[in-house]
Amino acid sequence: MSTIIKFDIKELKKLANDKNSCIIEKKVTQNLALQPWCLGNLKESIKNLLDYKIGKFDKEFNGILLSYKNLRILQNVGTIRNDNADIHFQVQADYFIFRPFVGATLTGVVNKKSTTHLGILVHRVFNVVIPRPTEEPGNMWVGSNIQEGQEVKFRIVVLDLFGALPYIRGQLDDRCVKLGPDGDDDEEVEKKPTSTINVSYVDFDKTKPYSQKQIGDGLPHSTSKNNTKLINSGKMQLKISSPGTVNESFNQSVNGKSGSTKAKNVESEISVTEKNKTKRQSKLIESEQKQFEAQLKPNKKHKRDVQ
Amino acid sequence: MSGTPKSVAASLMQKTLERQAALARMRLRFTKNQVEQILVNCVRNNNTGPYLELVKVLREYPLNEDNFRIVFDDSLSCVVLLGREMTQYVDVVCNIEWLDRSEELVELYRKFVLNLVTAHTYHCPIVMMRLVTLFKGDGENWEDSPPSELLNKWSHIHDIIGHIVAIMPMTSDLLMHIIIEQFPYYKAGCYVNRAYIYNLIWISKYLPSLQEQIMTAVINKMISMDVNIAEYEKGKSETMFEMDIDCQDEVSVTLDYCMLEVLKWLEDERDPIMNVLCTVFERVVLPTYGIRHVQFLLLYTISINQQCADRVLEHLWTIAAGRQGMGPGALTTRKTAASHLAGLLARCVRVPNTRLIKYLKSMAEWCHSYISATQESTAACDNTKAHGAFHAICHAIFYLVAFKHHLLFMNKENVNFVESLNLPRLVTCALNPLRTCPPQVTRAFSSITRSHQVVYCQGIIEKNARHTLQSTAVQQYDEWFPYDPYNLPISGKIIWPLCIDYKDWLKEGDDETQYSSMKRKLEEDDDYLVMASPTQRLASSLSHGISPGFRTSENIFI
Repeated sequence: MSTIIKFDIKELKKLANDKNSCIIEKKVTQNLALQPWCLGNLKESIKNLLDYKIGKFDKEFNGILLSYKNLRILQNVGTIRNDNADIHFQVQADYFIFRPFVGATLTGVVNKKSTTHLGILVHRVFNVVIPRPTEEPGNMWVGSNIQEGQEVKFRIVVLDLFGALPYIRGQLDDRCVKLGPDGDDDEEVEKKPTSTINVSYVDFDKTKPYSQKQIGDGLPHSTSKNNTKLINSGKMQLKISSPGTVNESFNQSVNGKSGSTKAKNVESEISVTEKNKTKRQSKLIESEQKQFEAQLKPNKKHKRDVQ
Repeated sequence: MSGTPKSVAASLMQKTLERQAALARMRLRFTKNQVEQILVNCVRNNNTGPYLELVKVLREYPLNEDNFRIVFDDSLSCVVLLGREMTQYVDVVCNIEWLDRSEELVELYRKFVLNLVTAHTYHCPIVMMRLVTLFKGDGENWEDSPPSELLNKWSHIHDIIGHIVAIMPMTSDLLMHIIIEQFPYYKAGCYVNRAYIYNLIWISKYLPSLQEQIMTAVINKMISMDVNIAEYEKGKSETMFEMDIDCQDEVSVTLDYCMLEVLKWLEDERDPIMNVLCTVFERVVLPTYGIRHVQFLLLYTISINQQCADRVLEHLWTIAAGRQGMGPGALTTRKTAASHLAGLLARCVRVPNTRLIKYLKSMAEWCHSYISATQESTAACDNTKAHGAFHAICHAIFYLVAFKHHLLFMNKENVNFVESLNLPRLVTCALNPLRTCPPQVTRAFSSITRSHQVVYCQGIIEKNARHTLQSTAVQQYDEWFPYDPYNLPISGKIIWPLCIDYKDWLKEGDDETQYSSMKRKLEEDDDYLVMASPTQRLASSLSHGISPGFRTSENIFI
């Protein structure tokens, strides 16, 4: 179970109280089958088993499990049935289940807009698609003046939760979206297709080459920005620089700033003992300390190489 | 090679056919909206003829730029129609070569893929699978870092994967699943495996939440390589002829480069990733018996990060002593933990002496309390299985004393410490740990302790020898020492400086570290191989140095 689909209990409570969220809280007692090796740490293995189910459709719940709380194992002794190796335990917990149904109305955030459909994210994880109706005469569609990031209400039309990913198709509620003055702004969408999405769990800077080394060196803010800009503007056609050269260019920029400490830094670049490092560090003004620390890391590398 | 007229005719035929195919490819031209028409027709009117033809054409002919643009523009405009029944078409379209094309077309492909997966989530597995398989392309191994063109291409793939995961958070599980499923076979070659691991590490950088799972997958794969190398080496000594050597060398080269990639990863990300590595080590590496190389990642980690070192050593000790939460744990795991602990304390340069002393002390204390506990119970049976953990920890103590003699018998103070461990009681106790101790450890331990007048074990050793003469079964010793010198040349350059070589106390004045001798060995590589005559090999194999556990870098290349 990845951390991306992790829900806060409080957040879920709020959603469960909301009638329109399709999330329900339910106390369920169910039978879990454990492998014999799980008995070493019963509680932990039951947790793992339930964690594994999170984000997947479960027949027993008739919905997608989001989270659970108040886990209780009802028996002290497990049962073995029909010569099976599995050991069965009765387990009770409060489960939060996402149970959408055709005809339900949900609210979600638009996170993908194209000329043919809208992609909507419900409860942070579930993707819903609202296709543009193709049969309708005319070129008007209420969906086309919805912006990315906007919240919309829709009705579920088609539902398939059995696949690897749930498939939900929706239909826009006409009343909820007011028709703007200019019915169509497709052109605009076409023009800015590469707008990057801001999500906390994906770091798009690092999908580019070369960024890895800068991160490894732990550059201070100002310089790292400059560097990435440089590289981005160069459209990645810069020659690959070995870690050594990256460090060099970085040192130069730092030295340029710190001025008086320049000579010392150059010295330390060659190789210094641990003691010298700390001495110098104390001499530096506090504001520069961070930069210096960041620079020490590459030096350590050098030291190892020298050995 | 033009032999018979028949073959000439055949080759002529072949050429004609090829030319015709090339011509057809040249002539293949989609008109604008043609593809869209076909698709719409198929969905609305159930007219599958042209659709199937289109699929066939797309599968067999490489597209030129114009056709590529038309196909993707049209597919883009009718993305909504590409439902489940069009899976075949989706598969074919996603498989069209796109990485080598211009920026604009790559952008088009990206847009199509993003639209497709958001409109139809059930196509996501196919699309992801196609993207991940692209990491397994052919290519040439690289030295320092991959060529920039390749990096550029890969970054396009990563960009798409990143966007898909950003828009559809639930795909992260799916992605992980596909990554593990698509992992190349361990014998598939060095480049393929290295490139794949390189890209997995890249993925872990922009999807930090997958870090641990990716690390687990990578380490798992490397362990399977490692185990196979070890298996092979075992087999080598038994067979008379050296067969399929190339294939095996390939695996060790592969492992070498994979180790290099992971070491670079550790060096880049440091603290967070090192903690992850420790967790993975505890879960995956520790239960594996008999591997030779992967554990050196841990040695690297603990030499760089003191917190990790303390964490790992503490964990190993709790497992070896059977003190973790639920029950004492499996005997094999405890034995492995003991040998890892002894190996790390002995071989790692950066482990401070205070740690060595601390763990020697706690091991000895544990053993003494074990002896006291068993004395009170029934007469000590010589069931080595029941007391396996005790034996393993005793061996760890003997090994450490024999290996670290330079330090432990350096001055009076240290000798006093060794005496305070009360080793004679361990040696002479009824459980007789020396009986199961590997002979080379016994030999080194007894000679060093005798010379410093700490323990006299000769009597016990001889008594044990007499017992083994009586019994018919051949005694099997546990001869696996996880941190015997590392012998992969490329990643070794990073690892060797962190290891200590064993120094026999009888040989004096040999001040060489493992690193320098290894380096020298590599430099004079060719000459060395020529010079090593059979008699020399025999001579060196008779000396102490070659025995496992005390193996020095001198003899691993033989």
